[in-house]
Amino acid sequence: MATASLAAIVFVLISAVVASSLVVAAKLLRVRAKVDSPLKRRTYECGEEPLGPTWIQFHPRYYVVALVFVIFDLEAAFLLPWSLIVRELGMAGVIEVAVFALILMLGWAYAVKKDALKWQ
Amino acid sequence: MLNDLLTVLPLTIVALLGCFVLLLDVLSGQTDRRYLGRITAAGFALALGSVYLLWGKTSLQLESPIFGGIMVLGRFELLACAVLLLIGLFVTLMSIDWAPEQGVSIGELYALVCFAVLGMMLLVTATHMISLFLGLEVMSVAIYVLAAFKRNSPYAAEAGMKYFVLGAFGTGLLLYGMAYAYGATGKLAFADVAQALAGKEPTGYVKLAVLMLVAAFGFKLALVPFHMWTPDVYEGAPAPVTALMAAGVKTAAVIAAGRVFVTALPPSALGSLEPTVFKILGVLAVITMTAGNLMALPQRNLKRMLAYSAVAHAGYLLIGLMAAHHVAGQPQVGDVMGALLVYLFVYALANLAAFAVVSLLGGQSQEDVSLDHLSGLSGRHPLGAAVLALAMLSLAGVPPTAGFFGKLTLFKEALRADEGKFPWLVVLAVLNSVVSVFYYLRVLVHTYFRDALRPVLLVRGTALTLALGLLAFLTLQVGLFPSRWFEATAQAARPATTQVSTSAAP
Repeated sequence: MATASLAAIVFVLISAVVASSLVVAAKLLRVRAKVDSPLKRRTYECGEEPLGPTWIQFHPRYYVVALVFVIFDLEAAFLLPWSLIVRELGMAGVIEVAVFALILMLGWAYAVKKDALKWQ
Repeated sequence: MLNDLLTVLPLTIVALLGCFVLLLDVLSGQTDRRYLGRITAAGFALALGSVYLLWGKTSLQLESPIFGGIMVLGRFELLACAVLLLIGLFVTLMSIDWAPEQGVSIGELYALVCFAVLGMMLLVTATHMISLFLGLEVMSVAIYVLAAFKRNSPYAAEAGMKYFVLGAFGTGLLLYGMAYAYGATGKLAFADVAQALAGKEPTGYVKLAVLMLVAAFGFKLALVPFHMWTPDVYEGAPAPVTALMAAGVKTAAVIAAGRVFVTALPPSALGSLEPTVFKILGVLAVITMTAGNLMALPQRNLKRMLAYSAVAHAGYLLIGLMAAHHVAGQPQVGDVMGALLVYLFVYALANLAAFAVVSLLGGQSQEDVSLDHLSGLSGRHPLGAAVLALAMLSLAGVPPTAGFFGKLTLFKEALRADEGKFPWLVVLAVLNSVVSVFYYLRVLVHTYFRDALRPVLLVRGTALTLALGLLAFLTLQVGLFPSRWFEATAQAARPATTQVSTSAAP
């Protein structure tokens, strides 16, 4: 009992120490520019000259495409392990996966009908 | 396997209904979506019919675990599913005429209601950590979207955001608790967890698991230190969605919490931790009902008032949960769970009725429902005023309505569970009910005895009228002829919760 409690307490302590030490280390170790310059106040874009302000609205189509990707991602994630044991599962396994894929395809059909994949 | 698939027929119907409505909307391309609402309502009625069919089928061995022990759909669960399906039906009925008036005539509304109800049904049938989590997420994700459903309203956006952030936090706590329980026992099925813990001194992991699970269910049930989201979300979310939250989420979460604290963490599994857990839950119950009632007193907005009343009722329900936890493993637990289900049913009816009236007041995109909007309602819409009156009397627990018998059975069972520990809790609950009468009756004063202050635009429609009429009928029917309903639930609950079944699932 004591060891389990101790392990949990140590776990909480370590996570607290790591999290707070990162913040403190960043405060202590940061490189400070001696003088204030316009370059210092500029948005950092991987060394490139920034084009325009960063507070712009992104088109939601990126987000929608990412969501549709999740459908196929999930399908792949479940079909791959299934394909390894398909012989052992037999017909029941085939039917189950067919139902699973059908449900995902319903989502895909919905997305297509909603014009989610039209890039305009 | 085939037996299992047949047993989950109500859940299958609702799942297919959601998919069907979703696709029908995009394929048909109609702009008037009221027909979708009618189809959804018919689908819920069909699912209710399937519950009735299953009820009589003893050949299915309903009480035994299905799908390798991840869920059970016995008579108690069937009754709980029936309550949830009724809630889905009423929410659909009150949305049909309300949605076009609010400018949210969107087909996904009905599909999301179906998926939310499906998640709730998974939640009440779960006997395994994973199926519990799955049900909770199916329900919550659908309701996060529904809360922000009126996209152009800043209140709805606020409600959706708050509900999402705090709901996700609560879910995280639940997962953490489950992970610690799994770490302590190596088991995930509720009965196996209890068996693994029985007779041993609780370790630090078990303590953390219990703490996390209490906090997580605290968030979902809106117990007092975890209730902060409730008023804003109830106020901002569209009225039918708030009805779904107040009635459906509460029912599903209470039954699920009951199952966890009766089958996974009964007193026998908690050992020396039991007195502490009892104290924590008792303190939570007392501050929840007291704070909920005191904060409801000054509210002038009907939705905020109902939100705080939901907090107060969560406190009463927690007493029932404590009683169920206390007698876990004894035959009596069936009676307590039955009393909880009855209370949830009458509470759901009263809340649905109140939010149906709030929907009624939502004409032409009107969202704000203060007490002034209610003034003079009895003259303009007598049925709406009468239903609101019944709902308030039922929530307050006044005899001819269902609410009185809900409270009576719950408190009676709590006292029967242990006469040494529960009386002070029940006395505080009864005193709290007396306080609550003030703010419930104030609504009636405004509805019946004040003249109209401002023009209020009402939603007119047959579906909403039907919902109002049915809710009034059910509230009175349960209130006037309670014994039949209560005996059915008690009988149903007895075998389901007493049998200790271990399963094949890990």
